[in-house]
Amino acid sequence: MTDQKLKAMQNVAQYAFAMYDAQLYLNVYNHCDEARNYYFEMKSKFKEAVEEYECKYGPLTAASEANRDSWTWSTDPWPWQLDEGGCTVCGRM
Amino acid sequence: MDYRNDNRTPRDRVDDEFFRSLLREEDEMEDPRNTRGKDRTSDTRMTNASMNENHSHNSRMSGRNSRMNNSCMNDSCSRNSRMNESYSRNSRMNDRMQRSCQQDDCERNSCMRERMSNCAKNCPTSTWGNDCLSDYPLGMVYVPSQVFRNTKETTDALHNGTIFCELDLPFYHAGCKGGTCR
Repeated sequence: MTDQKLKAMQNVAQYAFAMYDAQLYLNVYNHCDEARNYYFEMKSKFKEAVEEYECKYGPLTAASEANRDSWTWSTDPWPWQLDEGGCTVCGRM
Repeated sequence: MDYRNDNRTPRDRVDDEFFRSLLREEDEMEDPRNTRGKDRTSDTRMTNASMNENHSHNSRMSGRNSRMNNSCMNDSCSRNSRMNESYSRNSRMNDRMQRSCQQDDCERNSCMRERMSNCAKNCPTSTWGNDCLSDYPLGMVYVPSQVFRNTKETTDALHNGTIFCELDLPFYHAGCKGGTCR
């Protein structure tokens, strides 16, 4: 996985985690406006990060909009097929 | 000692008279002439009661440990040598506490198992099985409510496993016996 791709994936992961932790907090303190604002701020950043990743490297999930034009979900390399030099099966970067 | 009709808090129960009664009982238990024929059941129940009460009071702790130790001796599972009787009462309490701590882990666990086993035989069966502490007041805990504040940068949050600075606490695993844990 290239540095840029790794960075894009890290962005997705960190915003997804922040959303999830805020969700756990909101499950207990569901009237907290500050937590709710934080959650939706992270959600918009997560959405941007996912779009940036999928635009360059293909869909992250089968339900992704990136699959609408062509079903690349099953043809793109799987995470375990990637290494530093790109896909170990097809050689794509 | 029956706590069911005693509305005082555990802290209020600890007074001079309480310690005097503890010491009197210990003296009786240590004297072999008085030990013969003594009812072990009541002693076991009281020992478990003092184990259940979560006090940080040092002298109370001292009393608790000495009682645990005495129970071990009376149950004939401790073979530690008895100490000289020439101590003052206070220093004797402290000394007993140390003696209890110096007991080998294996021996101490064996004492505990034997006491619990005796208790299980003598206590009434509740919904949850043999409950040694069913006659004693419930414990209460206090947990402060969390406030949404001091959130971390998202990169640090992912690394630390929380978005909250105040939940990023250092956790150390307990020491392992013989230093063999990894």
